[in-house]
Amino acid sequence: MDGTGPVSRITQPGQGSPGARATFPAEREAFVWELWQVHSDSMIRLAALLLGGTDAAEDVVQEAFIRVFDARDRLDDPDRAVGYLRTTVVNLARSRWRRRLVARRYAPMPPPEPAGPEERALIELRRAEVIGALRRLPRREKEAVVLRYYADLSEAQTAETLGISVGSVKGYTSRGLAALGRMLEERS
Amino acid sequence: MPDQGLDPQQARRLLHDAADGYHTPPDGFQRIQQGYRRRRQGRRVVAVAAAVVVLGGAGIAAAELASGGKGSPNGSRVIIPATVGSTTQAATATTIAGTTSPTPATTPTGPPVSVAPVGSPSTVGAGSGVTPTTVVQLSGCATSSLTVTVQPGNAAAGTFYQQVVFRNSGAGSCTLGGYPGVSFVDQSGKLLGQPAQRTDIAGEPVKTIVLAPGQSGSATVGLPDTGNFPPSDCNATTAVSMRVYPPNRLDSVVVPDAQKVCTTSQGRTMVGPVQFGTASP
Repeated sequence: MDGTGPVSRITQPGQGSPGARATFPAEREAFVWELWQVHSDSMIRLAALLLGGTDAAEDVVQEAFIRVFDARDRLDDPDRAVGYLRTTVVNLARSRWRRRLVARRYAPMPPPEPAGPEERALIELRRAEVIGALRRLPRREKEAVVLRYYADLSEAQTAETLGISVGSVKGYTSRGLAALGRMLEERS
Repeated sequence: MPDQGLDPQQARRLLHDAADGYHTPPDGFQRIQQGYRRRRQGRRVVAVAAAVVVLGGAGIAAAELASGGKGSPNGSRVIIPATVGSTTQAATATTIAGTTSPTPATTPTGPPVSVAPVGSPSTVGAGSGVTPTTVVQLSGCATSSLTVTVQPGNAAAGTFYQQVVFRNSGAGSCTLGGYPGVSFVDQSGKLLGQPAQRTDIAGEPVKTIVLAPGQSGSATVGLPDTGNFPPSDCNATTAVSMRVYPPNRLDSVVVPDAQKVCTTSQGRTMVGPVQFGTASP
């Protein structure tokens, strides 16, 4: 390694050396910003579903993005970065959930919009029901169902993200769907 | 459907509906930046402390530690803005993106994102008058095969508009879809203010366009007049260049474009989705 300077440099016309002040953080920042633009909402939503709609979701997603930021150019392949983000969100959500911080310390997020027109109120009601049902689902089932049907991952990708076998994913998913169906059936 | 559970389609719909209510907080990215900086500062303190300890033993080890801490050496990218076009005010920039090789002179390879053409047949080739003959797997235009220029537009209602033009300078057709990433930077490439917000400035549809070699697509960039804001709210400065990420790309080009921008959260610039051709809205 040459050890002479920043990983990448930007040369502007009329400007001699790019300067020792690393341009690296600026580029990294831009990379993470792009990821954020495209994926932050879906990551927040993934976390919200896993964490039963609590505001811990924001913490978890923030932490995951900070880790990507921190990973520097070890993670400059966008596809890998997204996979890493997703896995990190799942793992962080899991440890939060396990420590029961969620249930005790975090209140459920307030409904995003004020319930005004009746349709909206109905949508909110349905939303709360689904979130409530997810909260009562065993963790593995919840994770499998959310990754398969919210994040639209394949069984293989879900297995990889959760670190379990494809067969287990199938089992958790079908049990999860059955349980969700029962819970939502009871309510309506 | 008692006891049968949800079918995948129902599950998809219910989960998406339930999730749709959640959004990222408006200051989310700033919080990430802050969190990252805090962490880095903390680590630097630790690294310095470690270096001091090592110095007591062997100077060489300390030197290695210091250079190793600068980041791994792969992934060099050189951005060379070309000379300004002769008659127009358009500035051009080219990239050479060497992904892993330390010598940027190797064959420019596109970034590893492969963008499947998401446009329906009706949007493919829109405006070009060319009927797509066979369904070819077109991939997204790599940054290295695009010539990115900025063209001045007009000003209206306190906003100055520019066009970011993406010309396919590669050998084959490729697709562009959605929003480019746009931000204004200083001489060192550092971000000024906030990156442009993605929004349909003139009601432009978000679609995928196909660019044959030589054809161009463009996106509108709107810059609010910094004079519209109280100086203390805006803290205006003059940017040197615009950093442009072509849609769905994670490598950028820097195009000279001196503009006054706010460095606060005020007066945020905007960028619209790419459209075929170079027409202003």
